[in-house]
Amino acid sequence: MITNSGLDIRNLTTQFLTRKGVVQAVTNVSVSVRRGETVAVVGESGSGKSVTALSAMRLVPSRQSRIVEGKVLLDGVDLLALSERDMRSVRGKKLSMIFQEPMTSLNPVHRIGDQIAEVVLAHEALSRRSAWRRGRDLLHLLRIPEPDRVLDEYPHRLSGGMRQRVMIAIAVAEKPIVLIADEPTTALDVTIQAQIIDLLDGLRREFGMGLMLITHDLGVVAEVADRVVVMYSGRKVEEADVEEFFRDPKHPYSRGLLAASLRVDRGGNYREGPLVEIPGMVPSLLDLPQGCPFADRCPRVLNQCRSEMPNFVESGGRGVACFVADL
Amino acid sequence: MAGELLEVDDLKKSYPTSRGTLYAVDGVSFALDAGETLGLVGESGCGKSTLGKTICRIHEPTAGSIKLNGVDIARASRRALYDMRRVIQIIFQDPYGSLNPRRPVGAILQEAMQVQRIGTARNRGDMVAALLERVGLRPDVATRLPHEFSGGQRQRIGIARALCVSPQLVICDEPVSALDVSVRAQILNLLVDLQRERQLSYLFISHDLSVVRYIADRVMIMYLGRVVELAPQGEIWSQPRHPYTRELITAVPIPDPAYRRQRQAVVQTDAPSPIDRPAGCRFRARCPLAEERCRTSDPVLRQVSLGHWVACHLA
Repeated sequence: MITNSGLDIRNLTTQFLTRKGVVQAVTNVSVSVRRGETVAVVGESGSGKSVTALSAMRLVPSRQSRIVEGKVLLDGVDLLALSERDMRSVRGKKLSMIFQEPMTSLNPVHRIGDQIAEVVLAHEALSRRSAWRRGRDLLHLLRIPEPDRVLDEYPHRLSGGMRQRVMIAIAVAEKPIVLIADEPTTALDVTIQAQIIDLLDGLRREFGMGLMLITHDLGVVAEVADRVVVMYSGRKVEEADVEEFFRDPKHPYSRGLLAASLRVDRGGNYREGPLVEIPGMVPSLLDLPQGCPFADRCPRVLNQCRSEMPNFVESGGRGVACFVADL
Repeated sequence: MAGELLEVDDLKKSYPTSRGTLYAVDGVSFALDAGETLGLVGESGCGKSTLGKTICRIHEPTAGSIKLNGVDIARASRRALYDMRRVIQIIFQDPYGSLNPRRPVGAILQEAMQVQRIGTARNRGDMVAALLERVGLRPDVATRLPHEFSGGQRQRIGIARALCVSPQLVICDEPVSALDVSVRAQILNLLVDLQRERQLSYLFISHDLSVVRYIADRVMIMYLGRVVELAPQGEIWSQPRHPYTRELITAVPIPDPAYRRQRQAVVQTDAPSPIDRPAGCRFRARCPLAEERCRTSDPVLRQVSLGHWVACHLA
């Protein structure tokens, strides 16, 4: 289904230039997030999920990296073709991002009110007082108690959960088309995590915005995602609706992740047997094997897998890059 | 109680700060048997990590006793602790920060043995090789530096280092929290195997309840420096008695879309800090069941069924 609306990353390939050579962190990745839907991008270290998001935001360092291929369409406009100046009026306004560590994203020497106002004033012609008032409204929307007191505070005086809420407030101040959240709850306590995830989901519904949720936590995925994209070693290896993904994962890596996942509501104790492992580890991006990057760890590996790269094959919103899996 | 490997009694650890005294651990008592895993769960600021480090004397206790095989080590001199360090070891969350980046891993392990006068210069190399193999690494990696390993491998090295002295108790401070999910299972399986082989006890500290559900025989929940619930593994998950335990369990997302929690208006309160402890029950500000007596009286940990302890007036 072709639609102009939302974020549409197509065939993205991003490289980093390091002392040890060129590292291709993202290879031919396509992910789309429509308005109002939540797409979870799942992967572990080296999967390229964060670099994909940073590339879409054009936040990858320009000297050490290059986007060698692809398009990033936001409501039909290719962000990669914009000037930096035009991109600045998109970033934080139409396409926003929040990160794992709110403390490093907030300026420690400015008050919260000023930091929210800064974003609002960058995109709208308002008085400072109006911008602060918008800040209060946003904090209220994010269910922060005593918003006037918080506006006056410095980041270090707030808890991790509060800071994350402030960061979300800043990110949604201009009602973006799509919000990218990169591991937004990984550093938070589980009770706070639940609140933040609920909040993001609520904002998505309220604003009708798209939410791209980057995470390694399958519990969070099951909780809020509509669709799931799995990445491994810089490539997309599976895509499915969330129910289908959990019911019938196709890629051996997806299966391994699900088999290894632990639940708090059921499941045995260690006395009932060992956990299912995915042996080995993610290959170094500097030293990728010739064929499928998962071959060394795959329980269903064939000779073909070691010499050829499986293409991503899709049909009806369901896709997988694997010689052994069938759709 | 005779026969326990570890018996902690009313242990306290507090820090003076410019804003008042921080009561990180505020009167914790429990026992641990040989060969058992006690899971210690709580959120940031609950004191679980401080408790683990105080037990092995990385931090100095403010009050209370720590009996290891019947001998109180809480106030033992640093000299006297030398023998204790053969019995208790600790592995850390951060496999990057806990290994000396300038020394090859074989040397790191040998040094651990040397300090405790284990082996001789001649055979330590072989002992290290055997240990590396036992934790799933090739013996020839002994010459490599820590940065040459992945997070999971570094954690294996940390485990090997703890095992160098053949301890009886290993404090595991968030050992898998910083690892990829696909590697986590490997490390947990390794810990379980080693426990069985060597009759080890673990104090397994984690914020991740799903991991603790798998690995622990008994589970202890901490809140603001105190134990609020302690129960055997089956019971704590099926019959949690403390409102905080229930809140924690309900908050954990389940990797199964059929179990999406109902959206509810969640109360947004920040946890009270371990500096200004409220009077009465510390949990009352967050507690959906709080009554008048919760405001005035601090509940003590009492046994509600065999092996199941709760600190709550209403449990």
